[in-house]
Amino acid sequence: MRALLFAPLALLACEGSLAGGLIGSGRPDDPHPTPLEKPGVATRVPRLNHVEYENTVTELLHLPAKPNVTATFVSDTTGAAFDTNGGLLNVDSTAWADYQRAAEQLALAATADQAALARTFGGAIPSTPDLQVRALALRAFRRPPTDAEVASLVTLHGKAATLNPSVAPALGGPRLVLEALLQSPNFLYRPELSSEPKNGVVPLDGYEVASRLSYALWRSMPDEALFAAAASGELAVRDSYLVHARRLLADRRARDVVASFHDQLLQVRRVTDVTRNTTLFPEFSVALRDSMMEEQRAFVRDVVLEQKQGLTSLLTAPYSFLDDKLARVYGVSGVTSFSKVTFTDGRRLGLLTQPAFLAVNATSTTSDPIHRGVFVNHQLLCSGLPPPPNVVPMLPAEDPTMPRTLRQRIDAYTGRGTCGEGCHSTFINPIGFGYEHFDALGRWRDTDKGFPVNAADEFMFDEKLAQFDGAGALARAMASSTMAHACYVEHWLEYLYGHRPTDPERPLIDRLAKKSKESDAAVLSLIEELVSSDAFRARAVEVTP
Amino acid sequence: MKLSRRLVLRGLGGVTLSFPALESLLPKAAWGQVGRKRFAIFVRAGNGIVQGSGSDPERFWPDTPGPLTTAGLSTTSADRATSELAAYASQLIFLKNVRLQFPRGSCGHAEAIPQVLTAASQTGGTGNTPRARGMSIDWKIAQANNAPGTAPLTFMAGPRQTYIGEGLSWSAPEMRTTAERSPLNAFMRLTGLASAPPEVQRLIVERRKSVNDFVRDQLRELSGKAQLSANDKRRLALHLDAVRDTELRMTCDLDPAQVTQVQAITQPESNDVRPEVVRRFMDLSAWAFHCQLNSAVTLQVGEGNDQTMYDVNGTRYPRFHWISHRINSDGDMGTPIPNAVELHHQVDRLQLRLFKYLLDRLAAYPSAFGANLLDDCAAVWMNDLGNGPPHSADNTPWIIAGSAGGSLRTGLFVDHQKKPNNLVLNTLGSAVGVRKANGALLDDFGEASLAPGVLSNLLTIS
Repeated sequence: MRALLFAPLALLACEGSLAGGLIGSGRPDDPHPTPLEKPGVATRVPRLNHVEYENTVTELLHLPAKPNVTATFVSDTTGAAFDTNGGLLNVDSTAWADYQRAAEQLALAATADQAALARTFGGAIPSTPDLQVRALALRAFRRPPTDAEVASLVTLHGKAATLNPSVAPALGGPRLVLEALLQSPNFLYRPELSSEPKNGVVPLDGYEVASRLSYALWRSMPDEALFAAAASGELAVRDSYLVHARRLLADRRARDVVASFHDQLLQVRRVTDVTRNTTLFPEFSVALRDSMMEEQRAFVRDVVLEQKQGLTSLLTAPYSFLDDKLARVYGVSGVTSFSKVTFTDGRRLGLLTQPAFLAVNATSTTSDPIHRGVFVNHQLLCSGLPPPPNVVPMLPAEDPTMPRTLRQRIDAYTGRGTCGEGCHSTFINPIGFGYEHFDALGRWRDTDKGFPVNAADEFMFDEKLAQFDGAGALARAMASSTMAHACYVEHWLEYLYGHRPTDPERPLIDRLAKKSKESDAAVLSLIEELVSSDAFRARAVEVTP
Repeated sequence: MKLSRRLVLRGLGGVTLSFPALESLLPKAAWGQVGRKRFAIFVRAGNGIVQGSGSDPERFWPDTPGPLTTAGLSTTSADRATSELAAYASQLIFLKNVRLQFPRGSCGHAEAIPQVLTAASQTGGTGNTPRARGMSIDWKIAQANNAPGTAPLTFMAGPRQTYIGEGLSWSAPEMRTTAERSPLNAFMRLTGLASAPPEVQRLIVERRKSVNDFVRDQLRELSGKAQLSANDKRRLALHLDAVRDTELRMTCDLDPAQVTQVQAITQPESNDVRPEVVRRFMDLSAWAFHCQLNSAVTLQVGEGNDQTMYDVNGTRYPRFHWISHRINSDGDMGTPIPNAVELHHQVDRLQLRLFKYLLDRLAAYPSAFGANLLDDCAAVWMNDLGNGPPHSADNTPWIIAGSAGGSLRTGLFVDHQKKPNNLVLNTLGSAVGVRKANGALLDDFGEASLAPGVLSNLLTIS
């Protein structure tokens, strides 16, 4: 199990790397010791995903709003937990056709007339094709173009008069150049081609670091200040780099990153699949789905961005944001529109007592302890559950002559002494049973099939058995575990770094997990630490196979 | 407009696959399957043939049904129009007396053409009014063999404004498919450039070519970086393939000389270029099959009542429809046309020489399975009427070339004995791979009132 394999290591002193300089020599007397936090092996050419593409063309062309050109693109399907894993994104003929069409549409709009062209250049239109090409290519490639690239693009610029004779050359030239830039691999990918090893890693150059940072925190290209910092070498100086990292993190675009991460981690879009019989669940309506998603998002925004709290609060904060529809599910009166509601009865704490989790992981009529348990093991604890067997028999139907709770039926079928003992009774069922006070829609219940609900169990957190009774106690147990904090950090690393964590990145994960657990470090500070690590600003010497 | 050779060699072919419109045409799903690819083209002539009905002598078919040989067609049957196809004797099926089941008795042309490939009855009326009450076989084949949503190609050599226009292809009951009259437009559409005037399209092609040149250079340079992993290089190679597919496609692109011929036709609806237009559409059809852009084509030669004034052996003939009536009139009263039967026969020969041109084109492309692309095809020539006067529809002539990947037994001359055309359509559909939902051969195409079945004597499959 991953949690056991990645038990905290005795390498936590690596916190010092943040206070030190850039990549050190490794000598004992070196003021910048070799960092323990090394980069993992990853792709050198991550491709922009559709969100990044949309954001980037908006910034690149100084568009007033997102052009929504990716709406008709073939979907990105990576199979990864997060959409930021650019090493799994390819360009096949279908995607290529999408890019070609979008490039032509965008270039046309960006050069429709002199005003549009001026906007595209962010002000004054450079006076010569050479200057125009350099200005556009710098931003499209997110690095200065080489002389050869400039020459090719200037030649292309000059062909506009014959290839597009109905358009004034002043517009046709930049249009053709933009079409080329938007289809260039140096635009569609973010090549990281620095190759000079230093002390066991390859430090990225300023422009590569700028792009890593902006795509991690904004999912978009660097802004002018970051370009300037890259050009001046400022980003090679830790203090200066941190200034920019914090600046980006404070920007509204970073709020979108926080939301996107949690949307994907918690798989909030699955809420749209929830349907319920309104006879059994009169509180249900299609509109309730939107409310459920908004509740989860509002809660995350509040904890992470407003209260500036960490994972512990995400798991245990005794409040949520309800509207009238959710209030009916919660059994709360007096709520008319979305507002913060604090719970004092101890029944509900944090994300995992919200309907967006409880209803999604339920059947249309009953709670679903198994799927609730699997979800938490996978997404919140990284317990490394193996995949289920190929053939999973259905839970035997209820015997009307012998009424039992759902827990009793599951226990009889998958509990200790059964073939499901290995995974179910150890990992899945205990967690799932903790939420048994919540029915298929997330309503509180005291009984199941006429019997009192039993939501008590025990689980091995950090190689120590923790006992709990109910979702609140389970949330507190999780929040007290290194396991959950390491899992959360691991997910953030995957999201921000764009690849599955690898062994060299384990020290960084462990350090931040400790910090998250022991001091309830703010999520924002975890993000800052992740993008400030030496591991973030370098790449491994090794290449992927 | 003028398309330069450079454009042909480096431009048009070089961008074909990268066009979004063409992407949707590529039949990845259907043709990604293991198994032989099969194609069907239906070339239709009008106004009937000279085949021994009524007072006409037999000038079309060999004297007796049976095996076909090149020697027999070119010697014993040399005075028959079908001798024009002697070189392909072993790859041919002659099928005489195919009945169109639903004549209405008012206008033979208007009523015959909607049912020839549908085996369906038609709504009433004259001129363009009658509409087939069923889908045509080209659509059935396209649905089976093309990528989802890819319509068959529908061509016509003839004018737009006419008494009876296109009527072969029906996407659904009473849903006539508009035919493309311009080979150049068809070519541009196949390459994804049909939404703009030809000159604009040419410039778009050249611009895309220039942009692709830049992109390819960048991809190659990036791919060559030593610091990239093998996996990264594979990903970039996939990307490069997506751009470069167009260059690979050059090997199946139209011969530059043919593209020049395509673009030379500036007034495709003109009478004077009619056979040229037919040949260009045949060029495009063979190319489309070879490039796997489509699996089904209809090509209508002339209007419903073909009014073309053909040039035969240097002589401009009267309107073919008049010739077929033997008088200088579209009706039944007019001055006689001297030697009209012979003229009709000569037009029949011309039509079959055009068909032979198609067979030559198909045979010129290689096949991964047989000797050439013709082996993968069912190339069909038919006339929607049986004869001149009285334009009967119970003895229409059909010629099938190619074995459809070995599914058809060729080298035969068969008398269909005035049985309905649905049996022929079932046979052709089955031969090129159309199957019923249960996997059985197609045997129920056309109007439900027709008896189902296939011509098992022509099929090697069951």
